[in-house]
Amino acid sequence: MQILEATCTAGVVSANGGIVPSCQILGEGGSSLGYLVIGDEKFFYLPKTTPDVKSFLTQIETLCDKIGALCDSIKAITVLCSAPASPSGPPLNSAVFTVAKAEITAIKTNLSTLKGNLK
Amino acid sequence: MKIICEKGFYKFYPSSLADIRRFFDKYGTRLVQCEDFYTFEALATLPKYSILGQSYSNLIATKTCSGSREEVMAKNLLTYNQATKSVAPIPSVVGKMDYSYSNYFVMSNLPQAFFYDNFGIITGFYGWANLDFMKFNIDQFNYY
Repeated sequence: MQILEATCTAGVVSANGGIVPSCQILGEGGSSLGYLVIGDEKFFYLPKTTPDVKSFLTQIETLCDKIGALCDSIKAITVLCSAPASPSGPPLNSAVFTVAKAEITAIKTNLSTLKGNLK
Repeated sequence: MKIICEKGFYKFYPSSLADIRRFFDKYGTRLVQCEDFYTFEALATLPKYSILGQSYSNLIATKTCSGSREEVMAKNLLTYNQATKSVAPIPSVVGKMDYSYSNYFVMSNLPQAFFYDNFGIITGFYGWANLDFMKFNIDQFNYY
C-alpha cells in the first residue's frame, strides 16, 4: 500500500503532480488537502479533516470572546433621560452593540462557508 | 551469481561485490543495490506505485496500482529491455530465446524476458551466472 499527499478540488483529485482519474473520494467532496491511498489496484482519496476542525474551533473561540465583550458592554450600559419618568434614550455605548452585531454576523458567515466546504 | 527474473524485473544476488564488477566488465551494464538484491539502474529507481496517465519510468502508466516493482511493472504491461537499458512496453520486446540444453538451459547472454521459445512467451526465469565462463545457466523458465 502506498500513501501519497494529494489535493481535491471540485471533486478532482491530484497527486504526484497530476490528476488521478476515477479516484473515489471518501468524504463530502469539498476542496481539501488529503491523502491518496493506493492498495494493489484499489485507490481512494482521504481528506484531512483536522484543518476544518481547527478552523471551526477558532471561530467558536472568537465567538466566545465576542459574547464575553458583549456582556461587559451590557454591564456598562448608561442611558440618559430628558426628564424624570420620561423614556430613556439609546445607550451611550450603542455603537459597541452595532459593531458586535457585525462581528457576530461575520463569524456566522465563516461558519456557513466552513459547513459548505465540508471535506 | 544467482539471478531471478520475475515479470521482466531482474534481481541479482552476488556472492561478493566482485561479481558485480565482473558483470559490468562483461556487459558494460552497472548493477545497483536495491533492497536485498542488485538490479539494473532503470529498475532500482522504479516507484512501487503508478498512477494512470502519469509518468512511470519515462512512460505513461496505464494503471493506478501499488505493489512490488515487478507487480507494478507487470500491471502496466512493462518489462526491462536489455537492448535499450530501460523499461519498455512488453509488446516492443520481441525475439526468440536462444539456448542449448543439457541439465539446464545454457545461454551466452542474459535472457531477455518476454522473448519466446517453442513453449511460449517467457515471463521470467531462475538461474545463475557463471562469471568465469560468462554463461547463464537457467534452471527454469516461467511462461504466461
